[in-house]
Amino acid sequence: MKKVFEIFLGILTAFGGFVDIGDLVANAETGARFGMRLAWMVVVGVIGIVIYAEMAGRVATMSQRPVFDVIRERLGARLALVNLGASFFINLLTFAAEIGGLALVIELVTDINYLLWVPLVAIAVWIVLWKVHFSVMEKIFGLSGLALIVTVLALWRLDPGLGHTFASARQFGPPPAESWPTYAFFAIALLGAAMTPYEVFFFSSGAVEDHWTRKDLIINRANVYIGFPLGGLLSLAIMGGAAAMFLPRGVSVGHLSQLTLPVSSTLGTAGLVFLLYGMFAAIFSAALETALSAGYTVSQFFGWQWGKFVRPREAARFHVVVLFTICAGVLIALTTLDPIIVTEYSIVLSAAALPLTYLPILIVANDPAYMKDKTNSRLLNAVASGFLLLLIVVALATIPLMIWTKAGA
Amino acid sequence: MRLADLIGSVVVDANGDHVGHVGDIWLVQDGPPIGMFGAALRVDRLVIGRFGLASRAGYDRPDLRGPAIIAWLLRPRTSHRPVASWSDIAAIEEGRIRLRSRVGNLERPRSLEQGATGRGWSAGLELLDRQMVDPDGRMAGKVDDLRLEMRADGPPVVTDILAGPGALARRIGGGLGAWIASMDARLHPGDPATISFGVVTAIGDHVRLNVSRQDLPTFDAEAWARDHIIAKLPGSAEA
Repeated sequence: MKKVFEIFLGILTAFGGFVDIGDLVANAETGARFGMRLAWMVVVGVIGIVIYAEMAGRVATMSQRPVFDVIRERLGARLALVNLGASFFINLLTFAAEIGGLALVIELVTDINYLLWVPLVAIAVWIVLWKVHFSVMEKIFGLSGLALIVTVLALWRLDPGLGHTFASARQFGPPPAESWPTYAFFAIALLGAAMTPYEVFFFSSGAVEDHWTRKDLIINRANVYIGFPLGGLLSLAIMGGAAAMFLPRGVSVGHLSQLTLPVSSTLGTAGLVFLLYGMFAAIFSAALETALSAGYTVSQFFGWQWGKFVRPREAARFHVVVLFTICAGVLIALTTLDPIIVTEYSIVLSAAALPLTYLPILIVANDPAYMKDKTNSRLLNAVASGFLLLLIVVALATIPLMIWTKAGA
Repeated sequence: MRLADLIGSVVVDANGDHVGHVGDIWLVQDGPPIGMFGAALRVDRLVIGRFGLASRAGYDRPDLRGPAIIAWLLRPRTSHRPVASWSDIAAIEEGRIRLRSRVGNLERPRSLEQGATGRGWSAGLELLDRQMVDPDGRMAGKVDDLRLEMRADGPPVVTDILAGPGALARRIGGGLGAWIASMDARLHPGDPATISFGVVTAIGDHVRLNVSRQDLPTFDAEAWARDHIIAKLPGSAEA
């Protein structure tokens, strides 16, 4: 019975914690410009993160070795260092985007400029990381993120029966007003938003933080296979809401306040309160995850003690890296660079960096020396290999497309 | 000498023909006893050829089979590389190893073979880059390099683990390695942190040590970060 409750709680946590600033921005923007014509890419991205997060969790559970430990061993010190540099930079950018997003949510509520909130939000993130127990932290913010379900209700109100939504989801290719390169660029952005690298760093390190053993593999599987797709539905609802609201009016999404319109216009103030609460919780949990991931990756590369399962003074360098990341993220956010633009760059660059992280996971998940009897099935290998191929193509195409389309402008 | 001095060296045969670069080193545990570890690891053979992802992935082992497409791409690139025994070596020069025999006479085994005298290890796959863990389960750095002791009467043995950015820099090489080395030399002048192989109790998913991490030289930087930054923040000693 306790196990059932634990599994259920895990699923809900994964459900509510799935969406972050990248998903909010990418889905709302594409919804407004392409309708649901890129909805298939969200499905692809969710399948990708599901299979690779499950593998990362299983590898960490079976060998007690988190992802970046595996990366260094399989790629070798030199290539792993390159990956560390890229991952750390993208992760820092993502963290800056998350705290910028949090500050914007507070600005929507208080009407006080977001720049004032950036340092305060960062301090709040640090205090939670410093004081709150790992599993408590994970559950509180994950469960609060469930308030985002209002986006599904709003979509239903805007498009009862979802007829228009499904109709536009069946169309492939850009609408007349858009070109193929921008279509491809936004497809990559959606993929990057669903599959940001920090998710596997965090998920695999979390398996060690939560002291998972072979018996917990079922929790791993349930969290990922049920929780993530449910979270993906929220992404689609955000896209659908923006499509129904903005596409017919030719309005593009450039500010977080626009994200709230589909909800506030259909569900009123009560809906808006839920939405803002859910957005804040989901982005806050992503800010925690990215700040921790910075510490995880660097510590795991160099072999330093990491994790919240020991007291801070026993993992000193890990906490120094986390603290450094928080301070650097604040500085980036305070440059007054538009948080939405920082988000766009972070998710697109994420897509470019994925193969170097996912390839070692895939190889090790097949290695009985680590996994004993829990190696990948043939079906999983077939899907995962196809995905890796897609990611390599995406990685090669990202930077040229970014230049060609002027980042989707 | 360090393992990193051998790895990457150019190998030429008795005719002066280029054979390749040393990619990996196979060790056998049959040296003179060293502390808890028992018989020391002895350099057995040099594996010649690139030691990249293909080798690291481990597809030369029969038990690693999937995913099919990656195995198909990588497996042919790892097995049957030329391997030189220590006794084949005529001279070790700066960055160059000269062999007594001709390239055609070198053995080309399919994969690491277990010796009759002790367990065989691939240094590159099973030792380097592994996480070290102390008796309390605390992480104590990575195996960044190994120190070898030359012996008059036979192949060198592994005496110490070298750890820290200074040791790692030599393995990274190039401009980046040189930069890391110079940064590290400024912060920690002198040799890199050295841990006797005699405190190693097991080599597996992790390299287990029987000395607490506070008593290892790799702990200096951690202690500095703890005393100067983390301990100054309120609540750092609470769970």
